Amino acid sequence: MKRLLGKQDLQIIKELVKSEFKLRYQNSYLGYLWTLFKPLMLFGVIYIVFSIFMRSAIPNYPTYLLLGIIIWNYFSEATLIGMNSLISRRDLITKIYFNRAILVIASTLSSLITMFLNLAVFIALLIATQGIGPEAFLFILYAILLYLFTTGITFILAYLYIYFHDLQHIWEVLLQIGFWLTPIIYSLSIVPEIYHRYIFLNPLARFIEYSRDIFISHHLPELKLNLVLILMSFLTFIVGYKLFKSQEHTIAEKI
Amino acid sequence: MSQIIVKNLGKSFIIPHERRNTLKESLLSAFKKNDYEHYQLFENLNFEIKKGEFFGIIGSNGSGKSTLLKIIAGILKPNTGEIVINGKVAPFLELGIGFQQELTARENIYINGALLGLSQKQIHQKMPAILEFAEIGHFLDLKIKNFSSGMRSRLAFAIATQAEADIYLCDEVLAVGDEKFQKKCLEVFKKWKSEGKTIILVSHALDLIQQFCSRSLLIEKNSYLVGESAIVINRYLNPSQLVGNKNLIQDYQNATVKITSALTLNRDFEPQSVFETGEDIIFSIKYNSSQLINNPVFGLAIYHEDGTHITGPNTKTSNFPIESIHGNGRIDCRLPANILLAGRYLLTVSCFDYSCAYPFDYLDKCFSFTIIPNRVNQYGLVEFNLSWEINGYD
Repeated sequence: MKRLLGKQDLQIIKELVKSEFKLRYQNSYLGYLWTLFKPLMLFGVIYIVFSIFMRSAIPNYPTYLLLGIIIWNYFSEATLIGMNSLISRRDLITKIYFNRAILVIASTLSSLITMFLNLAVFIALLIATQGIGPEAFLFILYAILLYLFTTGITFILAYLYIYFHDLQHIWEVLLQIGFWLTPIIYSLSIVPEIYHRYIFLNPLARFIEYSRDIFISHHLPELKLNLVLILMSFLTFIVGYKLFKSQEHTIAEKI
Repeated sequence: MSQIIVKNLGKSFIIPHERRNTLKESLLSAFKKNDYEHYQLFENLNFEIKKGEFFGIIGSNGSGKSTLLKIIAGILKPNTGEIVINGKVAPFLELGIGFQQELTARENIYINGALLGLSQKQIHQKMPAILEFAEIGHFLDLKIKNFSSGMRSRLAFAIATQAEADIYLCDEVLAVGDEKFQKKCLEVFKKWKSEGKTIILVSHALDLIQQFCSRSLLIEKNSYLVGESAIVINRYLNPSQLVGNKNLIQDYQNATVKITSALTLNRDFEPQSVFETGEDIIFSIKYNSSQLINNPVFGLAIYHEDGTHITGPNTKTSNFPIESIHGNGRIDCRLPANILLAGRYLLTVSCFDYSCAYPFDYLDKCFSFTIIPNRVNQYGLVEFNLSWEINGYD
């Protein structure tokens, strides 16, 4: 198998991520704070509704909720921006020959960096309220897997988006549905046991649940569960990447 | 050694009669047949480009020049045939691709450099050279959107010239920029030429093709022609005339004397295609004679761009008899202090037998040069060296 990314590809990714970051944050005084604003806003509203109005009994609800929102927000932002990554760089695709996968990889990577910045806020809150354990280091693995899973999905979306310009609206609706079918604002304990297996078909439910385990409950998920997640993530990435690569040569013509 | 071999290359596009750009449309018309037609740009294209060669591609708009360049760059895939490329192709076709308006020149140099295949270290090393060429020194940290178009194209070209490749593809590079910038570009071309790089130049600037490219490709709908630039350009400029004189042209091709190139030189015998009124122009004709020819006659004709025939000297009328020619040779015609005024002029070059009835070779209006004014307020085609005098008052 040919190497996934050459040295020069990495160099281009680095420059693209750097420039995307500058472009995202340089044109406003608040810069990065705006990106934080969206998940925090969502967090604030949900917290008021569920914790104060509905008196949800989930322990450590603020950190529980915030972690779920940050991970979900990464997935939804990375896929939505990433599916645009080919069309928005039409100029490059039609005029320069380079590995097209770079554009998708760089786009989801930029979003990943934003997630880590958001996560810093979460970790500060966590340390202030409950404290953090050594289990938290396992999140490095989850972040890598989350990135692979998200990028795999984005490869497919970005390719299809060239053909179907309404895909973005469809995907927004699907994300909305996904938000409610994933245990982000509620706990699995309120869901009847027989539905759990369906919920765990969704890798994001696993990412969020397992991350809560290591950050908030201070215990490591079973090895078996981690292996399933590794398998799901790699499989999604490989399928997405292979599909993208098999159609790569048609992109310049169709875009 | 062949650097690029094109074998039976064909490219067509599918043009659907009804464009479906959304999932909704695709689902609604899933069972309806979508008619489409194939648009064949070119097919069975065969040619080779040698290492160190400057190769021109000409043709009218939409004939597939840029598409061919994109196939060579690897951006598009051909439908049939193949291209064998020995060496590294610079991956860009146009200048300033991927410039981000909102970022500074410095940031853009790094992005652009990476896309052209340079490492960060290399870009670092080449930065002074880029800045010197682009002449943007103290604007390095200014956003590109605030650059003038001239500065932008200088910067783009400066980066592009730093790309390390064996084969460069240029699509209308010189269409932008002022005279000074164009001069700089020409210097880079000369440098590449001396370094033995292979260059493929797509351009409507036929003078440029004539000056730099030894051979060219003309693509027209369903046909193509590869050959010496002079002949290919001639065919491009005078398609109808050539159809009528087809036999004559074929005779030329087997002719004993062939004009291999014609260049305009300045007084120091350097190739130049833009002159001022009053400057010396040397028309330099290179020929190849496959056998001994006695008393040949070489001729020139200068036409204004609009077709007006201005002059037509030949070695016989100028009382410059040539005893005989054999093999390769060059004959120069000096026009001291030209009196032509601003405009583009076309040049016909020919070689006849002594009777001037039978042409060995005849390249009609396939070379050109440009005259620029040496001062304002000049009218007409030519300026004679005349004087005024007042001879009395009323």
